[in-house]
Amino acid sequence: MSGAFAVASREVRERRGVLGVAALSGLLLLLLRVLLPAGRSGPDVGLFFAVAVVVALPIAVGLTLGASVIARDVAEGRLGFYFARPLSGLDIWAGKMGAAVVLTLAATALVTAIASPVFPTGLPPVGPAPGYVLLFLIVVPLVCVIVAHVGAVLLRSRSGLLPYDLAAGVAVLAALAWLGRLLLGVGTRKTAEIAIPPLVLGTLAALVIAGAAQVLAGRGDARRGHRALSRTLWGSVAALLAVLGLFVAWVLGISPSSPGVRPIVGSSPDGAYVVTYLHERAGHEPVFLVHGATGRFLRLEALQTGVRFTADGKTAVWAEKPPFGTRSLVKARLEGPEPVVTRTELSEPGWLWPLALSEDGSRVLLNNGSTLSVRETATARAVAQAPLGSYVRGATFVGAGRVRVYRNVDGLIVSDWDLQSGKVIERVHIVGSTALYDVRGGRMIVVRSASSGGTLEIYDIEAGRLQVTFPTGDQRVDFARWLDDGRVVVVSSPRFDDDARLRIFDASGQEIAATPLASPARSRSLWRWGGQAGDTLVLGYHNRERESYETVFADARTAAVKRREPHIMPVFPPWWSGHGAGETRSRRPILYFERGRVVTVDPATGARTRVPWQG
Amino acid sequence: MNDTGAVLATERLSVRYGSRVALLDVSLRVPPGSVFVLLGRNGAGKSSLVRCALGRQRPDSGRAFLFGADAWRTRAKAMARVGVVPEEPDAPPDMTARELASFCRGLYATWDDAGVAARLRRFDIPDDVPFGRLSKGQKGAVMLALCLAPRPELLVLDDPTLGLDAVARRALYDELIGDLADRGTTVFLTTHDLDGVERLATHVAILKDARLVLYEEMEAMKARFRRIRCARPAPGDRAAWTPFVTVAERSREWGLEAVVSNFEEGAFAAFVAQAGLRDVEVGTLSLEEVFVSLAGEGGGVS
Repeated sequence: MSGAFAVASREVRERRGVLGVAALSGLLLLLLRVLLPAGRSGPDVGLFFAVAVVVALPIAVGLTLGASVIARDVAEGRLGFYFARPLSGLDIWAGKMGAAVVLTLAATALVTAIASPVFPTGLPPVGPAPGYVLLFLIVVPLVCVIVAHVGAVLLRSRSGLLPYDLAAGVAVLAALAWLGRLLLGVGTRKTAEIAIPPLVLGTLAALVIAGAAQVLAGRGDARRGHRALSRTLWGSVAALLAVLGLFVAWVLGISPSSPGVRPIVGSSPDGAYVVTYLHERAGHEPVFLVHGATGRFLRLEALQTGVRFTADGKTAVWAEKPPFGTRSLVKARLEGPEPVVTRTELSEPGWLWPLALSEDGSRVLLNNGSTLSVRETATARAVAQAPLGSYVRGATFVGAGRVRVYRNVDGLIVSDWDLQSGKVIERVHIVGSTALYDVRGGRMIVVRSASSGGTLEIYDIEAGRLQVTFPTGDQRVDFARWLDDGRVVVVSSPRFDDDARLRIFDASGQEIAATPLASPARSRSLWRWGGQAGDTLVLGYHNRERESYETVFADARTAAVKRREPHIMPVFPPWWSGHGAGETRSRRPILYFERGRVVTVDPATGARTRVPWQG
Repeated sequence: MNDTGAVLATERLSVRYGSRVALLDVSLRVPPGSVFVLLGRNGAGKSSLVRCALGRQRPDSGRAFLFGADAWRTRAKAMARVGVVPEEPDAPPDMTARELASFCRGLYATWDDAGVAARLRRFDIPDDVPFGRLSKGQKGAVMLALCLAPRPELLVLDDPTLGLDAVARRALYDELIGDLADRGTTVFLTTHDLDGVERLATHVAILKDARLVLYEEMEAMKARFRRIRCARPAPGDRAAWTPFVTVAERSREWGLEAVVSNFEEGAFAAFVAQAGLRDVEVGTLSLEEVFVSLAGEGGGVS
């Protein structure tokens, strides 16, 4: 590397003038600050110029040096001087590029250091933190050196390959646009963001390698050097594009049959359909509406919100917003295994979240974050509006003319909004941090609030009063759910997920059965889900750290554990999915997830039958 | 490896630029201590051969060797033993001769500082003027001084006299002769200055249309090439040059003229007696005349 050092030293000596320019620029910025001190009002011109110069000068130096350090030798046929010496091609390339890099960074450091008194923090405000600013001041000029180097060599080689380079560049941009549109078209912006950094780094690496190949293979011959550069550059970029294409295909190819399906989102109230979010693939989390009996599924592209069902499970709605399309309210009729989908364009911009569907599916409750609106599902025409959209936990239609809204405002507020009169009546207000576990018949809620000292309570919403208090003590309540006959099943534990107990309370709050429920795994990310299937309680565990699942079957009368089934999770409709009043009974697990597949489980024998996925 | 002992050699070397053939199956070897002159018209392939021989260009087929090793693969190492004066002086234009010498000094194991200074003085080169502002002759002189300073075993001079006036040419050759006399350096030289190199060359090769049409020692070449002139034969007589191989024939007012490439005194006496030619004259040829005969229009393989 002494050869590279010798070459670099020579280049630095030749171009040391840029350091003088950088120093002079810094001094001029200081002088400008003296002449134009920061005023109490009006724009700070001195600061503006300082930021502009400190940012622009390194870029200009990087572009200038990058474009001249080897390209000029190539254009003037002077690389032969170095190749006539005992210097390897790598020495020559590394020495020259190293000099450009060193000079660029030195010029950046010089102008930034001298002008630092101008900036309140000592650094130009071009990033959220000093680390970002330094990264910006280092990385951007270096990228300029690399890009300018390759671009200038391509141009100044004056070979007939330039039109092919331009054509290749256009083809690459077109391929990138196509792949980007494929990703963004299904709402996978996060995936695109994940793909961009390695793509940029790969491209920069390709540029660096191609620049080196130009010197190493061309050895002073401009035409052959250009050919080596073009082959290396476009070959590398083509390989990158191929990898990106495979990546995009892999990301978009995810389906319910892919390994690692996230176990549950929920089912429709009748259990016929399952909504499942798949494990993210590089940020892509597609949602599928799966017909449980046949395994046929519909990919919900560009889904903007959750899916809501009517109480009979025959209609579902959701909102979608493709990046290159319009926002729509989507209604799906779920009479059979093939959903019939209709879209209604939503004219207003911004986010809209369907919260609930009316009993017959003709009306949908939408939230834009500040305002709730009830609309006709078929036309999206607003029927009523109310400023109840902030901090909404959930909402349901109560009959045809009322909407019940659960909001986390200073605790939990349950309000009834009369659609006819527009009046909003506050039914229950539980002060302090409140966990809402279940709703029964649209009028009874089971909660645990800070104001009650952590005790589990049942409120009657219609009456607006506390009805029952459960003696759960200071135990943590992990799970609570109504049973069909009005009893409440609770899983509680003295510490997080340790020593859990399955407890059953009657309607008056008396504990009538309890059994230890050894936790399948000690974990802070254990997630429980459960419900009733006839005489059996079904509790699913999902250990998110280990990605392991288990379902516990217990006697609904005695709470005694009957059976444990590893690897499966029951699928229940959640209370907020819009199933309406009095549907606790229907929340029985028809389907289970087993290692990424949907299965049915015979409650008596535990025999599992796999439901085939059909896209 | 090439174990012929040659300082520089090529083996069936071919170079193509698209559909154009620049060199085709060229094989030659430059013995140690020789002054090897490579001749050819513009575009004959001389520069391509030099680039391949110096490891700067990978041939399309065949190989080039420096000191017995593949020139492309071992170029950097071999360059420590090679001095190069290119056709176009290519040193960085902003550096003075002194700075150039300082830069090059660090790259070689041996460096003759005094020799560089002496040569620059002899050539009257100002050492504080950037290379780019020197005259063509001065640039060539600087390049020669730089290339002789590390005491190379091989000097490769690619048309070093191009654009030089007679004085500068003479100075360059004098410098070469001095170096040759001192150290017996091997020289590989391409040039159009045939008169200038004739007194130096020990070996000569001529390229024509990408092919090697002559390649041998200078003395042997001079011995076998002759110009033969004779009076025009009588009508009906056939002017046959057998057993000589002619590389050029001309019909003049006064008679016929041919350049033959296999002249021998004994064979010539028999030829004159048998052919019944009149007024036969035989003359030696200069390097330039041989070159013109072979490389000019109508010339051919010797």
